[in-house]
Amino acid sequence: MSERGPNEERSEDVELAGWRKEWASLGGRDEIAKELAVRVVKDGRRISRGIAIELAAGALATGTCVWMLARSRGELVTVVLCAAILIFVGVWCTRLLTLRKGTIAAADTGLDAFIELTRRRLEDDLRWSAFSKRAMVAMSIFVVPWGVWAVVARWELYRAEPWRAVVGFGGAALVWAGCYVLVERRRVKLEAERERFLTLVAERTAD
Amino acid sequence: MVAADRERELSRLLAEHARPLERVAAAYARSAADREDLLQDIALALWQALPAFRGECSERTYVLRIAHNRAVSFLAKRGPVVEDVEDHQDDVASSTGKNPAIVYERKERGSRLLAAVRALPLGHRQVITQLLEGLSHRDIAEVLGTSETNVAVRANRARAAMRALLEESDRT
Repeated sequence: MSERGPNEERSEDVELAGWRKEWASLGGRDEIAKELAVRVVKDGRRISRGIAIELAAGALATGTCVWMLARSRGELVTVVLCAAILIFVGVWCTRLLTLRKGTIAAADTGLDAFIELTRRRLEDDLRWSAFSKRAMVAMSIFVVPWGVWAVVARWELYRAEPWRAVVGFGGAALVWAGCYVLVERRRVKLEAERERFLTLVAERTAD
Repeated sequence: MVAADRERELSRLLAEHARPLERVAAAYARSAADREDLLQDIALALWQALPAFRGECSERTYVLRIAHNRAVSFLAKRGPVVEDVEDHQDDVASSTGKNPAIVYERKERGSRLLAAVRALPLGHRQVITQLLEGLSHRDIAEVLGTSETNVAVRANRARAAMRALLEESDRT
């Protein structure tokens, strides 16, 4: 056997280190692939359910607006409010369908495809929750002035029966605040879940 | 060692060394069913060998020694893994002049490194898998029950064979 120079030995060590790294990434892939396959199916169902609920809510909001417009007989404030809500619903549904495009169902199989799909879904969930928060704030820009106008316009009625204002506006404010808190909590949970997922993938599939 | 302690110890060993054991199984058994069988064989062998472990070597070396011994017995029992390749001679016939094991693995989209390891003769494969697991020549000598010098010679030859297989794989 010929004598090996120091450069050759060093390059062999680099070669072995590279092989070891690739080798170490092999174990555990089957297990994580099975877990991810289950998760991909579950997430797919959750996303489909979520889209159906959001579209139903959009349809309900559209129906309510049409009913309000029919009753208002062209009252300017109501028309403006309904127009804003309809635009909002349109943007909401378009954003939802655009964001979820290509991630509703798994288009491919295999560990790498499942990792990529799950990572994209988590990113999309986070984008969606950020969009929901912004949208709620944007909607309140229209709804709050409308609320003030409604109180002023029916001042006599509300003065005579204040419980109507308390129940109506108080209830709406509570629902809005509750939704905002839920969206924010979901965002925090999603952030943590994404971190956990990326750490798990890094631990289980890399050296 | 009482049965409950032994069972706990086995569970711990299997959990801690799950990935190296999976890799050993992958190096010797190609199909998922065979890997599963081999892993069960290894778990059984570990269960039987646990009371005899006195800490003469590291736990990792001990586990890998048992795994490798079981893998060799498994191959002897099942026949060589190249059977799979032979079953697919038609698939690889078009690649005249290429190593059929490498061509087969590439068709199956497996890891090129794993394909090369599987294509090595058994003696080389035993050394290279342990080298890839990070064992030193001394540890490998312990596992194989041979001298360090012998391991060094086999490791050099195995690495040269691996290099050639990987180069061939890159050209395929």
